[in-house]
Amino acid sequence: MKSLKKIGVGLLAGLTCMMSVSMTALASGTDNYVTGDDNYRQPVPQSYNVVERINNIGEFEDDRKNFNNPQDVFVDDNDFVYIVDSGNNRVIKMNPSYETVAIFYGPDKAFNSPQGIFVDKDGDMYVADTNNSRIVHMNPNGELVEVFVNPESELNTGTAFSPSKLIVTETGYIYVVRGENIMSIDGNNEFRGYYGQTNIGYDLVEALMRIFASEQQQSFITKRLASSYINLTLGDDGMIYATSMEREEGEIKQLNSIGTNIYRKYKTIGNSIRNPITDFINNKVLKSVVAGNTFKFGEYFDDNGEYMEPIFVDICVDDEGIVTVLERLNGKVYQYDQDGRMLVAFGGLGEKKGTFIMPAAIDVDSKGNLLVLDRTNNNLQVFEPTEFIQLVHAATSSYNNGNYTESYDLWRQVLAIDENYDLAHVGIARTYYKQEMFKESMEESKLVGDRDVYTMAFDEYKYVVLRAHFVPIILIALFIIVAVIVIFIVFNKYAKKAYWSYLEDKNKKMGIGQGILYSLYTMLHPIDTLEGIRYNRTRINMAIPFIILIASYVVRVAYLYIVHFPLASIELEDVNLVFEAVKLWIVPLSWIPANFMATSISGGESKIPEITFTSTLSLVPFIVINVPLMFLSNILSKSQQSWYGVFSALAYVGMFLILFLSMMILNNYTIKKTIGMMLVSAFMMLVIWLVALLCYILTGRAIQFVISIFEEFRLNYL
Amino acid sequence: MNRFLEKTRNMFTKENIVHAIKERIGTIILFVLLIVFVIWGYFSIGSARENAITYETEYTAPESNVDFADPGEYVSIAKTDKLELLFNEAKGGVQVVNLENGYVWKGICDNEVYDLENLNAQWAGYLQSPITISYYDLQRRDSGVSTLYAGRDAKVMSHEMIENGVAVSYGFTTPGITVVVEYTLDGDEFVVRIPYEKIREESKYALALIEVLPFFGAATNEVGGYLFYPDGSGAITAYDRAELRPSNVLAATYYTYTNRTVNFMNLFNDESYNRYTASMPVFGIKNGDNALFAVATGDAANSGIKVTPSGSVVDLNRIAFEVYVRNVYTVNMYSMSSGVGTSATGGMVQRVDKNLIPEDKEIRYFFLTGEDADYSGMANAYRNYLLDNGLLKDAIKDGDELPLALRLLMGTSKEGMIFDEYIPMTSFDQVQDMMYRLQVDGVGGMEVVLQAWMKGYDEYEYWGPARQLGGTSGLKDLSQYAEAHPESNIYLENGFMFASSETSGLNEDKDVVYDGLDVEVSAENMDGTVFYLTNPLAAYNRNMKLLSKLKGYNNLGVAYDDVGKYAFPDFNEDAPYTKSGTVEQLRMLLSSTAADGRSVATQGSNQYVFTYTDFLYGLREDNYGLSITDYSVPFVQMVVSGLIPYATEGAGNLSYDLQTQKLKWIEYGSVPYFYLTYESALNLRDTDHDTLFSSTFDDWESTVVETYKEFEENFSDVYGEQIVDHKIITEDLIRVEYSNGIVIYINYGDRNAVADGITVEPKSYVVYRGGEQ
Repeated sequence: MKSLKKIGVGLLAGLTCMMSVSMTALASGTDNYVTGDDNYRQPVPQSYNVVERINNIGEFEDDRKNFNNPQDVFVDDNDFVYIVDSGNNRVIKMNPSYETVAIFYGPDKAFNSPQGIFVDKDGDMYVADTNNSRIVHMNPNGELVEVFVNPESELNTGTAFSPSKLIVTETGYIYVVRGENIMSIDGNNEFRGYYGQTNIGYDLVEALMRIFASEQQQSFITKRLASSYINLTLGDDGMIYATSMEREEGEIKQLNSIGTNIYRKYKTIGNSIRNPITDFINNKVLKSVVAGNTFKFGEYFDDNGEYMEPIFVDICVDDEGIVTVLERLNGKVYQYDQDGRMLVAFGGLGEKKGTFIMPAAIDVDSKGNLLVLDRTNNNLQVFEPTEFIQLVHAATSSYNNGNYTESYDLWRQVLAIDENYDLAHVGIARTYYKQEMFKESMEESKLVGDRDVYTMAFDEYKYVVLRAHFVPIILIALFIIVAVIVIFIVFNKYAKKAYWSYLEDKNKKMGIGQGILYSLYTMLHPIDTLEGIRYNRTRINMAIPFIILIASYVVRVAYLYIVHFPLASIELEDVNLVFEAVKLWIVPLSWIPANFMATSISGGESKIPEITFTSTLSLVPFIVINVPLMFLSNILSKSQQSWYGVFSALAYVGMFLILFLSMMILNNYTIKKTIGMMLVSAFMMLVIWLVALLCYILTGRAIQFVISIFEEFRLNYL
Repeated sequence: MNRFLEKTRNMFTKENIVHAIKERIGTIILFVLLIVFVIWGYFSIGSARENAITYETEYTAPESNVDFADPGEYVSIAKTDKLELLFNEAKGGVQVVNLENGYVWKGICDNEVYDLENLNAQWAGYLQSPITISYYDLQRRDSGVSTLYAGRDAKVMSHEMIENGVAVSYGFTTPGITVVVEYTLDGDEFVVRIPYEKIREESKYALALIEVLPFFGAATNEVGGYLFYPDGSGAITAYDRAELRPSNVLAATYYTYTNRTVNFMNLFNDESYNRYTASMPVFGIKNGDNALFAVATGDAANSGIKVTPSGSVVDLNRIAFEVYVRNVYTVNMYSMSSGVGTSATGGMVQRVDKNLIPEDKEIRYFFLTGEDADYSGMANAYRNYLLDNGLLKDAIKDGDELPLALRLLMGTSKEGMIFDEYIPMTSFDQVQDMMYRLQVDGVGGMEVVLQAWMKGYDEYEYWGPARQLGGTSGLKDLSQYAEAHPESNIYLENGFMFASSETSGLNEDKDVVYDGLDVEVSAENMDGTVFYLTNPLAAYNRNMKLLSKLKGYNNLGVAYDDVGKYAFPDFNEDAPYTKSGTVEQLRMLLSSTAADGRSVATQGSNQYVFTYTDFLYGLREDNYGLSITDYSVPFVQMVVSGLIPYATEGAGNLSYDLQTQKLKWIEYGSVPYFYLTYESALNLRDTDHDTLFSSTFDDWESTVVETYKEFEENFSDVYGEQIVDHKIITEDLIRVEYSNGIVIYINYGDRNAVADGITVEPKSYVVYRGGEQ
């Protein structure tokens, strides 16, 4: 479809749009797709076909043929299917051809709204008989074996016991979802502890409250709880896979024996210290931007491009370790490989085959068929994997088992079906890397924008090249160093000349060339140059600030084009030129009024022109550092990111320093007073931003109002 | 007193007044604004009143002359060689007797069909209704729709004998609406007509929709049979699968040619398009050994097909036409406080047009028995009907080779940081190169559709071969190449139904479609580009301009990617069209291209394109997949098979499994079809064409050739022959029979399958030519 597919993203998002355009591509109409780090939906071939839609129990004798609000489905090792038909208080057992073979209503007393089931290797059933507050263990014929109730323990207090989702390990321990924990119960109905609770992290506000609040007040402060678990399943590897309501990572977990999540993480560094300001900005103001630009499980935009936070209602894992989760709000099924990379997303809300209204549960059988239960449609749909996705599964598995050449062949077969399948390219790039074909690996990974594999290959490739051409490279490097020194000396000479001629020739205004050199000289002698401006404030050339602004922008744009691929923070096509300008200029430009307002009421001497001049000077370090850095970045890779980050940070340190010095020098403040005034100005700056934001929103509203009046007028009279 | 006067006089000095005004300037402006608003409000209410449709005459309902308890009696009123028409005066209902075997098709239900006694009055009335009406209250701003049933609410009924039938007048006294329906026999067909001039509306209610014979042929599950309807390529709801359906069975309605409400996003959205659109105005019922096949033949564009399997309130399987006598719009209410699209009552309000659609409705029913009483028989009947009426072109000449169908994406653009980047995918020279290479490899004829060959494809331009693809000279060469290869057709794809504010030469006031409230049917994207539907006349004129530009490129055909998919009414004051009028204008558009000596290809299979098209592509090969649908059948394909070559929606290179796709082509009689580019598909990442994830010619060349050869070898002798019979033996095993007697068995399953003593290997097929395989 032509470019109209961008329609459908709402207007509020006026503000957010300005910051990110990647979200706009979401509305593309496709059933099967993958999303990478930027949430862009890349269509892939049909991965699953619906082969069965089961709406009722078929021929089996029972008055209630249809399901009623079914809550769970389980496939046992022999591919028998168990459906927890909660609304009818029964458990339906079907054979692998989906014919009902038995219905259980509760062995000793009737089930009361059961919510979950687990069936072990022997066919013994464990039913979470939720409203009876118990777990019922039945043998394959539905006869009672034992009943588990809420175990007694001082740790197990609080809310009533209403078991819903559970698993039973080979050791006979029952793991059942209990709020923010998974509770384990042993075969003797003894409490065996909580498992897999998330670290809730550090909260600055709460810490402060604890320090200052009295004991009485503390009792009113609600205890922060970790996010609740939603569902869990037992993998063939013996690990528990679970989904939870968490938002920052850990929506999908693979828990090892001590309950630590070892599945894909969003952040490489552990729980960083959070503070309310960045939390607020990230979670409230920029949430859709943040969600749109980083890897997250599931998607944060529905099919209409509206923001949503996914809820993974169920999870299943096949014998190869492929994880499939079911999302409720947009009805999608997401499948991930063993490392948490998305293999395919499909499904959705709707009335046609293969879509859902209220998906409730998912499980996988031994043939790889996915069974999805819908509690509003009251049906079970069976999705059969196509040749394509089977190849993908085989390829990821053989890579994980270390069969790199086999995996390479399989990925090639995948590419014969879908030339654009990201993971196939990554897989091939990884195989090339293992085979020391670094150049090929780089090309392959760059095709699909995989920075990690590219970096690995690039680093190796760098050594290969260096080893092969050691002497010429050293010579070139020496030559460049010499050239830089020469340029620096020459520049210094001319800049010095420009500086002195400006100071001494008291009748002439600052020339353009002179002004440029003067600005650059700020890098070497900030105090002198700033004082020069203070004492010659009438003669400064106001064209220079504009030139600096433009130059910094040009440098930024050039930087985006030239910077080395793995270090680029944003894809070229996602760049929004307006937003880039705002990011770059917002501090120096808003500093001008903020600084002026702050200083003019507290004995400042500076006037708008020289504040403008010196504020824009703060962009000079950015220009000076980024010009060489963008070229240099081409021999750096992601592994040198921190090193590279130091240089990027230097530009900001320089900016801060110049702003600080200019305030101190122009107003003849003491250091202490300067610090105070800096804080006041910073506060002013924030106020200015907020006012500007408010104006933006209000004028937006006003314009909308006028437009709607005009529309109504036009419709009625024209 | 004097002092007081003096004081007053002093108060009104000039300075004082100016001062007073200055002091109160804010209040004054506020009041002025307020007055402006009041005046504006006054006039807008006035104008709204003026525009409102009101009825001056008071309507008094006449005395009822109907006794609904009277079962009445059926008497014969017309008879032909094959059919007999019976009429029941008391019920206003008809029955059609098929004289071949005496089977009675009942227009309304009686106790034999369904136990009426145990139904409530509304449903008992509905089951005995020859028609139902739905109407709106014109005097209410957001009136909902109300429905009345002739079997309960037509309190005044009269009839008049006409030639070969009867005209029955149903008077609904509550809303003061009278509808006359003519039931006649015409040879072997039973015809129902509703002349629009005889619809009388005497009160403030406006008739919008009539269900015609909603229970004609309705049957319980025990009867055995199915409902057929044109969802996608064709869909079947089988009576014997009722048990397998969910408890909450819902009726589904399919609107002929395009969704009923004209809303830009509805049209543009494939999902909603596929859900609601029927490309042919037909349906069928099979009850045991008898079948009925209905075709809307008068104002077909304003009809819908309502499918209701048993389980939706009553256990009767039924299907019927509903015809639209008035346009209904969904109006988006503006709300000052919460922005566009929301209102106090929820945002969308239904409004009806002032006038009835000035077209007579006509439905023809065909009756089939025995062997022919199935969807294959219906397809054959429909094919013959279209051929007899000159509505279906025989485009395949004797001796034509089985062609290979290709759609080639020529170029696209990608958003860049500063400028959009043009990405050439297949140049005109490369088209020649590809065709040449394929020819050398042994591919005979080709149907090649070139997509996005012009500059400004995204802006809906219709002319200007893109410079990056070789420009006019490249196109000229291609035209010459086409001249040298008459066995192949090259089509330049164009879309005339959509336009945007970026389209050059488009008058955004005059050339676009308006809805009944005089608002353009449009949508806006984030860049501020507005998208429109083009007025049919404007589309026609733009096509004429294209044809004049194409002079000198005489051997190139034109493909239309949306003319066969969308038809809508247009209230543009300069060139208004009813939906049927639009259909006619689109037919003229296609016919002028054909008259120019060019081959015509169309995407989408709306029935009206069949008269002119030489090649159909993008034919759906499945149905939407509602829970009431049990099987997919290639009805559309069977109708055009052997007459017009066609390609399915699914391309071989985009399938998850080419073998399955090939089997589908074979089952559906489609030519092999690939959607390719010359350059690598990797260039299409992050573009509007990212759905083309695998299309590189170099990678696909050998597969294309192999596939073609396989088809040429096995199916050359059925190309140009009609599919006369299609049977679903098991869900995986299909039997297809052609008019020359050749039978093909297709097995989609993973195991061997046996039919008629022939074993078909898994994921394979067998061509049975009588004796040899």
